[in-house]
Amino acid sequence: MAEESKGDAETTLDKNSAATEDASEQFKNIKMATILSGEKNARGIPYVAFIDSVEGTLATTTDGTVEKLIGAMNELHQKFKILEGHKARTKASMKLKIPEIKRTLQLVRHIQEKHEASEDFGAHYSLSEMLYGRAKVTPDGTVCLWLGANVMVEYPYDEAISILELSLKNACLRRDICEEDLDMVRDQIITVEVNIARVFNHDVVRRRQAKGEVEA
Amino acid sequence: MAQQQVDISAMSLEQLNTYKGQFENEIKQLHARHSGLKQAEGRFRQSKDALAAISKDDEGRRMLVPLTQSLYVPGELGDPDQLLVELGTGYYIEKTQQGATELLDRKIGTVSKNAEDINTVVASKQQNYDAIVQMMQVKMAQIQERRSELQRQQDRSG
Repeated sequence: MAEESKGDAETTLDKNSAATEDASEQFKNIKMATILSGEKNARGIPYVAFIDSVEGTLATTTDGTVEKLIGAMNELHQKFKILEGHKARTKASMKLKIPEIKRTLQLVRHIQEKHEASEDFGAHYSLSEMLYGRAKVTPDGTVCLWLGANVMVEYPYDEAISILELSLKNACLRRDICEEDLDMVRDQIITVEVNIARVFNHDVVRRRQAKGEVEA
Repeated sequence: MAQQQVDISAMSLEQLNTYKGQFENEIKQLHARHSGLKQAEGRFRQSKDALAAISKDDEGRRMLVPLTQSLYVPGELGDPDQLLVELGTGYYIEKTQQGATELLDRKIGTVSKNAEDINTVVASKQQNYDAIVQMMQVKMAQIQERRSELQRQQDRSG
């Protein structure tokens, strides 16, 4: 069932930009700007800078302690994980919606043909979850589209087709955006994890050295 | 399920704990299955109600035919004695209204019976579980008793 209105393209596009704004907002609050490379992808998701030199990064951060750095990176990691989950869910939802829209589109075109040929045709309709009844479809120039939220609107064939085509295009677009973002976010998660490991190892080495000096 | 007579008083606390955990898991699973069956029964009853909503007199009546989840087209109701019942995994069978009602009744009957059987099993498992918990409490009390006895002995000799 479509949760958002299919016919309202503007609101769908607005929702997309709201989601991108969300991404920028979320990541603005990471205090240590040095762990982000400063570049963002088209939806405002930041790229993570790979830490070449742990010493260098520690020197340029505002509070050069290892704990703070690892803490900030963990926070970043969590946010990426949440974003990844969100994108994966959207992708799965699109995967269900797109064939449904295609089917509906195909049917409307079929009905239009029948109408032009002035033919009625038989169909099975869903009486309940596991029962289907027979019915005769009498095309009369209009179809009713369920837009969700208890709203159903009657459209002439051409309008219905153009609405469904727009809806299909938007759904495919969102799915592609999701896939792209999902790949990118997964890369960033791996980068953050590697960074955390490197900083941690560097710290371990440093402590061992310091201990070695004390004992020497 | 094989009913073994095990003397739980002869088991150690750890063994009892293991059994307790096992029973907890089994009871949880059975509860889940039971609610699954109840849900299925609910769906069948819903279908039955939907079935009762159409009758022979309605044939030819104007309606909006749902062709997909979001598409409705104008049309007329067909013969209510030509219904397709879904048997699962792509198998459909044509039935009259009467036949479909009987089929649904049979399904509801089977599902209810299975739910009842599960209830019986759950009850007996629950009994065993309670017995084990009780025995564990007794054992723990015994251990506590022994410990305080040893402590008293030490204090006396010390």
